[in-house]
Amino acid sequence: MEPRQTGFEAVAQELIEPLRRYLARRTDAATADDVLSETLLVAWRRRDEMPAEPLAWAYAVARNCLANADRTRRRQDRLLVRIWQLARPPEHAPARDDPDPGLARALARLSAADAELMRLWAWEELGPAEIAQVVGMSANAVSIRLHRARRKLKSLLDEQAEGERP
Amino acid sequence: MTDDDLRDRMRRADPAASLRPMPEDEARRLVAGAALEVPVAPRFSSRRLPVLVGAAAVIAVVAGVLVASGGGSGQAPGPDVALPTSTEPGLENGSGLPDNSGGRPTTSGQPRPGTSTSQVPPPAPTSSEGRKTTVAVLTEAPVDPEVRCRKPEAAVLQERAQMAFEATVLRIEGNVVTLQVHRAWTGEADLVEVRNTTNSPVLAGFEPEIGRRYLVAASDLQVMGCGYSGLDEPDLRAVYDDAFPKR
Repeated sequence: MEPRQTGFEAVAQELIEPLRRYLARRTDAATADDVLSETLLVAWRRRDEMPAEPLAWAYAVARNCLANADRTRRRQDRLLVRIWQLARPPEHAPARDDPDPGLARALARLSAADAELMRLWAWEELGPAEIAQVVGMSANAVSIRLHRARRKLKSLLDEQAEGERP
Repeated sequence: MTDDDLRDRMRRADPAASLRPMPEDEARRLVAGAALEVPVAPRFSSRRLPVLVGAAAVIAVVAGVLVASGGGSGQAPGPDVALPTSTEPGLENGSGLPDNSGGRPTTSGQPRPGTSTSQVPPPAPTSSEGRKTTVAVLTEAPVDPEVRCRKPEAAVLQERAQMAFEATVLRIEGNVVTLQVHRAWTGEADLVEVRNTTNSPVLAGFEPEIGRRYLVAASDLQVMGCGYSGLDEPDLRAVYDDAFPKR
């Protein structure tokens, strides 16, 4: 007989890879490690609230944990007044090995909220209802904002393409 | 540009595209850490789990987890010295059996002749809210090197074991080893703590490691030794599978 897995663990095992990808897309590797661990911890504590389809719920937990980690880091940065912070690149500057710097620049020109909707749509492959669960908006509002964000992003990319033409 | 074109372009730029999958054992360790409310960083990436205890302590404790039978040749593993305790009010004993111990060690398993037992206080409560089964190893007679056990048999395991599970050693603190249960053939528990008060560091003939998987069986809430509990290896797993066929 194939042994059965215990409840929380079976679900959490399924969530680990999507959560790792979610975090890898939004923060550095060390922070991603910490936040993944924290996310699982929070998921365990709140396991009674976990819905039958837990992925969007888990993303929402990870999103909050990541926001907390960012807040903590900013506080520490302020306290320590680290010199390196002065030389820190802008938040959305494309990484040196970014496969598509043009896309990164265009995403950076969207509002932070719209850029996140685009990421959840394209990278996490979520539908409006699931995105709504992650970001705490209504599905209807997500649909409208997503539509506008896509249109804006396309427009920005088209502008880039025009500018690059000889 | 269509929506699909846009999505395709974003997918090609996905920063997580080159992310290597986390090894299965590592994922289990991470989940187990969460269930104990012990945040652990993934070991295979940028950090490593801090070493919790020295090797000698590890050996001593898991020797207690996997108690070898002190019985005679050809005997199936019998009640050694491991006694159950239910540590926290409201927590199930996880075995699927009622716990009438009132939080104290019971004497449901009579020690073998030549085996002495001593009273052990209930393990300290942990912060975990999960179901927990505590199997306390009180003490045992020194293992006779001449004693040889028969190869584990599915029929014996089926007859005697009320608990049979696959678990990873998650944490070792002093004489308490905590295992995270991943799968159960019979019985039910999320966590198992084993308290070892033995002085004997070697019983089962192998060194335990935090993060490694074991197959553990318990009869009358006592760890079954004599080869019935040990490292998660195909031969032993086959015995478990045979003992608890799909109904």
